[in-house]
Amino acid sequence: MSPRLQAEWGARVSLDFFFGGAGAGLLGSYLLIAARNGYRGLSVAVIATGVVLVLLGLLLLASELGRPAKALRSMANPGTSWMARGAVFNLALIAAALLLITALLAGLRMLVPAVAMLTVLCSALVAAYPGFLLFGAKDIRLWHSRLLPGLMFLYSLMSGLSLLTLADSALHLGMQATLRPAALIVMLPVTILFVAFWGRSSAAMGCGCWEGLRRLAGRQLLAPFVVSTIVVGILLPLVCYVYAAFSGVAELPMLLGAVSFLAGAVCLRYFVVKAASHEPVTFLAKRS
Amino acid sequence: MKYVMVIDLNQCVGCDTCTVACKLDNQTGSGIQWGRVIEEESGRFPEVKKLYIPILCMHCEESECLKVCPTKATYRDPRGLVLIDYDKCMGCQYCMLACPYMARHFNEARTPPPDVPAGAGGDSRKGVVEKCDFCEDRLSVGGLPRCVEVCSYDARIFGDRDDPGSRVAKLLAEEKPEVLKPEGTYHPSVYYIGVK
Repeated sequence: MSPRLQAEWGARVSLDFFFGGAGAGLLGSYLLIAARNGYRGLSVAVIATGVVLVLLGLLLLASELGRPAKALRSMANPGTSWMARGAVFNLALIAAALLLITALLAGLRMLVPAVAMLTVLCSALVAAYPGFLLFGAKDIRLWHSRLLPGLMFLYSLMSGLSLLTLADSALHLGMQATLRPAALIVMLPVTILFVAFWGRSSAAMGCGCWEGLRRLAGRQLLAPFVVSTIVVGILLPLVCYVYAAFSGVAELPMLLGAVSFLAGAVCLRYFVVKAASHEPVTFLAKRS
Repeated sequence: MKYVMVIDLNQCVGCDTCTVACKLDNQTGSGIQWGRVIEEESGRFPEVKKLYIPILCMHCEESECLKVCPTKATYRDPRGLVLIDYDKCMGCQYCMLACPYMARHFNEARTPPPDVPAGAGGDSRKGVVEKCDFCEDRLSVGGLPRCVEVCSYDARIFGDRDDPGSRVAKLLAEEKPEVLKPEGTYHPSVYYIGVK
């Protein structure tokens, strides 16, 4: 029996990973940067955008369920299931962010630092959980990689910084001086982990892992993978952020890098999900 | 009590009677087979061998499906069976990704063709994940799984592993059966003899 490409999860799950991760990354990075000046001038619009993105991800995930009406049951087994933990983390993040918005609108300044830290903690958990969720499927070698949770976390953080760059330009938040070095600092480990993840996957011995990579390297998926995740998602943002960090012209390269990275981040999730294969079920493959 | 199945690959001829009987008895929908038979070839010419390997839910003692299920719809009963409470399942399919034997199936909530009789396709299982339950309803009244009953070649032997007088207990002691994916730590309850 040959390896079988997973057909259980598709584009909607990968979009959930993107929106949930980007929303969490936006909230986490924004609040961490805002902590440096004591959370003065926090933008409710930015926090609300993060909440909407996380909610959008959850709605997409719910639409993938066979019985969406039972989605609330998904928190019943947080002891061993990463899906249940993810549901708890997502709802906790939404609750914390809504509490933060309420505190800001009601003028309860003394609550803001504590609630903001809680939101940052929840956003870190939401950003990391897709990687652990995929890691939990032990039989799918491409996903059962220790590098995947870190890769997913950094992609979420970088997506958040990219969204923050766009928000900074649109809402004049005055964060560009901080965002310029931050984007480059996060982009470098993203690139290293991206190379390490795919490199390690190609070196792994599992038949299913090879099948997933063969599918990516095949005629149908190779060009979209290389163009979308490597050229658009890694190389172009890297060039933009380096240029922005070391030149006087910052805004346009930063915006281009942000948009480019976000496009690449959507595609990365899609390819990680779609290229996964189940290991073959046989006695003979083990011996050969 | 621990129910297990021993499958004698020397006896199985790949007739798929078990596959059809299971499908009819459990009213599974189009494209869903709780049990199936795969073919494997081994050796080099002229010493080649063809194996017919029946695959079904292995009712693992270390069930990955049970661990990953977010709703606790998948559970283990006192007889060692891994079962699904279809009322609790929300159809996320995470268990299908975690199952190393690809023994779980998603029942898509499609409208059946007009010529399909009511109840066919497992109406109560629409939109959820389903799988072999060792014919739990038959076991409860002292019967055997349908695939065991219909096998004309006596290739499937079913019983209580903890009963030293049972045929499966003797086979497990004498034949040193193998399991699929032995490299895993799943401890499946379906054993195979005649692999070599």
